[in-house]
Amino acid sequence: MRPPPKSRERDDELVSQSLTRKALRSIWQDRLTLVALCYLIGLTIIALLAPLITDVIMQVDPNEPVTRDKFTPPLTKGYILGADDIGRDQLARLLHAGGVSMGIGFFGTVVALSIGVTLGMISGYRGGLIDDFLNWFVTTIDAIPALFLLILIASFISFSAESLILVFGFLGWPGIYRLIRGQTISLRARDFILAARALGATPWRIVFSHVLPNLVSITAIVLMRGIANLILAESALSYLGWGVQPPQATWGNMLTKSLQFFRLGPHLIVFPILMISVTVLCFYIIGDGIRDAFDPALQK
Amino acid sequence: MTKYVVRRLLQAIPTVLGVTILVYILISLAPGGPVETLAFNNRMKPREKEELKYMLGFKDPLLVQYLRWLLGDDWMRWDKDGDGLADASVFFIDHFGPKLQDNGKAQIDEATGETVMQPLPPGNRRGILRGDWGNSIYYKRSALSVLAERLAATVELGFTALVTGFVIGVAVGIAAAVHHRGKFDQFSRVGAVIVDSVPSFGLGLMFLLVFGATLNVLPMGGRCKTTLDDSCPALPQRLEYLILPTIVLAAGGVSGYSRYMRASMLDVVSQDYIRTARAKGLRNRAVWLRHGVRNAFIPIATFLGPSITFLLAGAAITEAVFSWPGVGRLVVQAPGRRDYPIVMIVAVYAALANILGYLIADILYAMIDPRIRFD
Repeated sequence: MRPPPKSRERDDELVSQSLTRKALRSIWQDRLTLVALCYLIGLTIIALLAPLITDVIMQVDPNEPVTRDKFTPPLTKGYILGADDIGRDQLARLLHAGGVSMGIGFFGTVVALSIGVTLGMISGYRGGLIDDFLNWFVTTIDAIPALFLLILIASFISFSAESLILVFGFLGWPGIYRLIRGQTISLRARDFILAARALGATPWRIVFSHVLPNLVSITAIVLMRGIANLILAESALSYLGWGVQPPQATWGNMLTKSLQFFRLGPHLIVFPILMISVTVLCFYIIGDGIRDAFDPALQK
Repeated sequence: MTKYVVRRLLQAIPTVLGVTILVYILISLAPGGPVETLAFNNRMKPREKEELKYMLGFKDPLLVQYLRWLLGDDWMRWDKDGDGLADASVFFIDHFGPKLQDNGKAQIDEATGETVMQPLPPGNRRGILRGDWGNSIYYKRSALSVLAERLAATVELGFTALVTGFVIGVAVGIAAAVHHRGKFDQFSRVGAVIVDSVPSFGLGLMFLLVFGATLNVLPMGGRCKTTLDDSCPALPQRLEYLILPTIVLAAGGVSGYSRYMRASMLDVVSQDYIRTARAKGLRNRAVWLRHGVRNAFIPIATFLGPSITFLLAGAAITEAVFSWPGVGRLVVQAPGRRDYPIVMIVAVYAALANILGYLIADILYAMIDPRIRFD
């Protein structure tokens, strides 16, 4: 610990710049992260308003087939992104699917984070028997390939968006748990925790008001990477036939279905794959941006 | 060292047991069940189905069924007088089952009102701990032989992909670190994230469609030309089948290895001994390669664990896309086919591969980095 500087040596740049504020400033200066952020915010708004946009502005039903228009190429007959194999408007479906795909990613990761962070902090802070048990449990779940567990579960429930969120959440927390547990163990040994304990703070108070705030940046990174990974996982699961069942559209099942129409409608492959890749890319970029922003070694 | 390995292996026992219990519970929750799968035949009478359930032990409690799978049942129910029927059993199970009517219901003795009982056949399973994994329902032969056959294919593809990904990834990582903040550095970093963002099955299928279906220069998946006995010729005669899956799998490896190698190199070159090497007047090349790269390799060893696991357990999605007959594809196929013995052997095998992968990685790590000691 460095002794606090004497007041007359203080200089504006050294005073009261918390790590968070520095990090926010560094994100503000990171153009790539900002672009990705704008894209995702825009996409989220559009996805949330998708029913309104398709009903009022475009006046199409994303699940209503118009058989004579099947495989219409983009920018013809009023189809901006063309129509699919049974003549449904691809743009409308992509908009609706975006909300489902990103929603699965977001809420799935939030479920995983809530379990992983809570148990990780308790386990890391308390240690002892509960730590041993949770560790054994996590090692066990982690030892089985997640995809295998997913398929096992899919063999007795057919996935809807909601059940997929829960299953992703319950299968996704072990990694987060390990990370948070490790961080908590290293935080536990720090002086400010000792000080809080000396002042008589209860373990719950220490964990939630002293440990948790120090995990915000890592949680944000995990959230971004988690959403991206779940969007990819959902599409992979769709490919294997165990994903969200049609007619509810997700980017994954749109891509999967259209792969068989390679010659008839290449536009049906290009746009879903583009939506998945660009969105996932943006989540990764933001995750990396947050990581760099909170990395003291990279701050000037 | 030996003590460390033994301790790690002992620690693995509860994990593997946990895996078997978890998968056993999950698979027994699934509707249907092995009897329905085995007796998927409309000429089978209800009585025969019920009898099958008694004979296979599905009328026993779940715990007994699990123990039978784990330890076998030749010690549970046995035949003392050699008439082919069990006449003794351990205390927690019966060696009698009810005599059944044609509709599958138990026969009731008119006079006494009690169920008519008959002896069951003696147990003949030896359990997985004694190497009896049962027969695959789908393949109609021993589950162990199915897995062994798949393993060869998985290791073949995994090894090719791993080496390709590692060599290219490390080279890219070193080059990016050497040209830190230069054009190549930016390009490779962006490229790595983009590769990670494309769904691998989409990439694989596009490759198949372009190179297989349209250009017709590479085979459309599989491990070799279809043969009558499912065997494949020696590797050099079917290299073209390896190209596309290797590219898809190695792409992920390249992006991962290059990123870590770059970070590790940048970390190493800011160390004091690199400054010393420069101060000694060594040429740039010698500093980078002899002092930099060798030390930068050490953190890369943390990748060994997942890599070994991947080598043994296979890449499920890519194997499914390219119809590669490996363990990964078995992972995808077995639950849907309700092939219970295969599901169980794959789960246990994947868990063992995972544990073994990390154990081997830790040992290698300690051998590479002399600063690490087993305690």
